[in-house]
Amino acid sequence: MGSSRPIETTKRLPRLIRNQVIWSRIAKRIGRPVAWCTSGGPVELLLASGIVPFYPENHAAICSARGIAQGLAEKAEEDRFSHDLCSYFRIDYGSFTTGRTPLGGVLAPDLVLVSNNICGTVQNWFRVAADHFDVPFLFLDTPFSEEPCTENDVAYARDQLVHIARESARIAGRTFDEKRLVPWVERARDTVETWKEVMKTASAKPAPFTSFDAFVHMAPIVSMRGTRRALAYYRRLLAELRGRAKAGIAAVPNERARAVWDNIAIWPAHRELKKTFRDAGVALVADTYTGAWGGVRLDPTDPLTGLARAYCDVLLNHGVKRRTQELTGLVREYSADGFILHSNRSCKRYSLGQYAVRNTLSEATGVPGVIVEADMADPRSVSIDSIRQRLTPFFEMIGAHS
Amino acid sequence: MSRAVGLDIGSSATKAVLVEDGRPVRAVVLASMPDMHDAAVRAVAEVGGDGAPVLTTGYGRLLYEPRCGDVSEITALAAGIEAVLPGTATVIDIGGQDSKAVRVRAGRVADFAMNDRCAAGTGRFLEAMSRVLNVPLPEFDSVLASSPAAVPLSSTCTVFAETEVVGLLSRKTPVGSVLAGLFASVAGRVAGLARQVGPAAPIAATGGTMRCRSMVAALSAALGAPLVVPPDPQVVTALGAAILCERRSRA
Amino acid sequence: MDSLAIAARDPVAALAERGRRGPLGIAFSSSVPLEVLDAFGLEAAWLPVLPADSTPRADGLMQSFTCTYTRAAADFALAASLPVGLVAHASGCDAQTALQGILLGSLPMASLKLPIAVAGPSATRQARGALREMIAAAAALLGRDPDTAVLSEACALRGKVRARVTEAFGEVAAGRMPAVRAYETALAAQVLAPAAFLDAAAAPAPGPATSPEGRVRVLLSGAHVPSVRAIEGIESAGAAVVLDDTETGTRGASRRVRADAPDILDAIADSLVDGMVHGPVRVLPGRGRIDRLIENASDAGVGAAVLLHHRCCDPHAFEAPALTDALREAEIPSVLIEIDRDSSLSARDLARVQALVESIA
Repeated sequence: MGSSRPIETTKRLPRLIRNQVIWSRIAKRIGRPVAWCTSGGPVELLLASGIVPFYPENHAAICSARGIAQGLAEKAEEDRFSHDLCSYFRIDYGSFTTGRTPLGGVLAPDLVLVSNNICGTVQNWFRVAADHFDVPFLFLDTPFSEEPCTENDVAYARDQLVHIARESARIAGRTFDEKRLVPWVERARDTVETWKEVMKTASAKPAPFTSFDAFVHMAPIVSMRGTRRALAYYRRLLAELRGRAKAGIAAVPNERARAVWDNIAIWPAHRELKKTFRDAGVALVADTYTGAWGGVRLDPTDPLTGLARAYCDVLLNHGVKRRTQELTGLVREYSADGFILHSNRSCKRYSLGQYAVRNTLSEATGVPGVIVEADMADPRSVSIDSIRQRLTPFFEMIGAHS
Repeated sequence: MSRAVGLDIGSSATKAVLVEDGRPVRAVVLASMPDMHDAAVRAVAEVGGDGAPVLTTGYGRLLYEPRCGDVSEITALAAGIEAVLPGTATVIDIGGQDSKAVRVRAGRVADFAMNDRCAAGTGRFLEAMSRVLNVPLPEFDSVLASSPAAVPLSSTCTVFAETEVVGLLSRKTPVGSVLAGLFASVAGRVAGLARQVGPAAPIAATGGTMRCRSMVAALSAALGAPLVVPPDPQVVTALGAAILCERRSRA
Repeated sequence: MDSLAIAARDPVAALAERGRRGPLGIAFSSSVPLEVLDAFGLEAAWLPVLPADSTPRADGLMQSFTCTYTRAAADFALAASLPVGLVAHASGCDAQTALQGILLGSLPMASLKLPIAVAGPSATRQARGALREMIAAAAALLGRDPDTAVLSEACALRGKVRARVTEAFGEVAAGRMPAVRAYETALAAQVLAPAAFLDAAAAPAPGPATSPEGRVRVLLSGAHVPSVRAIEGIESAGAAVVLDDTETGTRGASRRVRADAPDILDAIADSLVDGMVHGPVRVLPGRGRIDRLIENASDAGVGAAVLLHHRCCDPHAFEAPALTDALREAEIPSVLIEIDRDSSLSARDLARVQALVESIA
């Protein structure tokens, strides 16, 4: 049970992403429009019109993981954006105004596509970007609610999707054809389903896959959803992980305890944290962040209404009640011994309410939880020492120790 | 002969400067705490300003009576720097609670930026770290002189930085390296502030913190530009107030 | 001090007084139509910024990166020192939106899912549907439907209240009313019963109008004005507020309900979309908001601007650089004041305003 060779498929990931970047650049050069898109944006509409999506959120995470976030964020602060604003925004702003990026050049947008189903920050962020590049701003407004979305909400979202589809097609020099959407929606659905199966492999004991892996492997589900390459990649990953589960190959050697994670990864401390968990024998078996994509259901028989429902229904478009349900489900399904809530000062939408979540979740599941204060991307708001100070007693509580 | 006093009642130090015919004659610096009003009264007496008009500035500028008026420390700083370093285009001041960057045109404020409420990039941050390190502020330069390269500190938040510093020290990082990292952190923050106003040369640096040569060096490095520090960097704002006071009483 | 000044300066006392008459209907946002809460027979009020120096109940429920407005409002609602019949909030920033989930277990809450993008027929339809959904949720919580006769009456009365507030700022611009009085009027309008407010506002303003002459004429932009003292602070530094762009002041009072509409609920919903001046939390086409602000500022002969923001208020923080640049282009220097838990300006904030004034004078 002790061995832990790295996951083979992981080796293909950098090339997949690099090819995506190269392909995007070629596409741009031959005149295909590029759209900057939020992670919860209706990308299928873009793909169906031959538009190349680019994800500033992913890009900011990459900048942070590569250690260049601070300088970029400081550029935004020098331009008088408050230090309290989302670090992804500040990093991205620093990148597109200075041209500094680890991806070899900024892929300038021809339009931006935003949905506020993940937070209220993106509409402001992408507005700044749209103004900077002087390009159209397309917006999908999905009414946030504590309760499941209503038919009124879905109809509203669908109206906007029709507008977005027509406008983006016009920008691409095409006319929107709902039929062309179908194969993209089908593949997106299959990719999402496969991704869900990938994540489910972590329910095996010991877990062959952890959220630290998922944080990295989620890149294609966000940025290449609906493409053949993404689907093929996840199928391969799934086959390998199922094999590992059967063979009892553990992601964390000597797995002593299992925990569930809430909120975005802490990119500046990703490696140190992964090691901290590994050393303590704690497997991070599930999370709400990469799992958010597992919740999307698409309906190819009525693509636009299905999309409207799916995009209104994403986890972050709902409040505490839904998040508690989701986490309760994960704790049970993955037999977790505890949970960790990352209070992410960059993401109010994701973090406010966690104090309430902690109490209800502990009561519902009977397992302990801990809140760690950090930030998803700004190293100046992340202290690995202070995170460890919180985690150590928590690990002891759930029967592991470092 | 015309006489005037500039009184800068700051959060940690109270500074008074007496000018006669536009020339600074005497300056005193007293601790503001525990009684700011008392410190102000004593500063005026000690600087020999009895009977002269007093213009106040700084955090406690409304505490002192009788005064001929009050000005913000930003306006006073601009006037003061013009008197000691004429032609200065940008002045950066690191005070106890605030740091500020002021674009100056002929002794007047053209633009300015001040730190937000967070203590990062202020004297207070260094004071807090001085306590954690158990190294008094005046000894910073000598500790730094004898140490290897800086360790980069990522946290600018005082609370996080404290944990980070404790962590570094527990891993036997030399105190000097930690200190150099702290200076770089403060300097980075203040340089960011300065960039908000588009710092033009020549750039001057003032405030009590600038008596520490290592701080000046760190700030200069962070800005990528040389800095000029006037001989008595802590009293420039008080001097500015004195000059404005004299100008007002003449008018 | 008259009753407007008293209510503006001590909103908690004013709310306590209302609470003695019946359960309160508390709105957390200017986008909650108070006339609907009136029609439910509640003592309806839109919470202003309440004292936030000690908010132990809210602190246990929300992180430090929540704005003071949200924190203080939540703390007040949770204090349970007053009978709260209903808390209503509207979609807006992430802190506002999160409130429902945070408070749901403890308080009866209804949510108004207004569109964030406020243009076009689908936005209007969403608002109409959302208003009806909110009313249904409130009716389920309260065990009764809103009284339709009261609703049309309340609609007219609330319209008059907003008109009076708008008028007050008009008088400020014309130099006939001190800004402090206009903000007292606006803050009192949030917490007083409409009839009581209109009675008090009908009386001539006490005291002489201080003239803005010799002071720098400023635009005040922000969300919730934290207190009358904040305005007094700004003016003590040598500025005279002559133009308002705040939720507390002109924006919150700008909503117009069409009186001749066939369906009163539709008319109310429409007023929340097309019938008001929106702040930066809503998505408008183009740069409409900033352009309009600059135009108004130039018309009002404004010499400087004070951006009075709450810490962690994202919509305003996002707008600040573009607004500052646009103001600078129009030769209007500005200063950004960020307030946190304190409701008046700190010494250093006053120094900033004073420095701005001194740099112009």
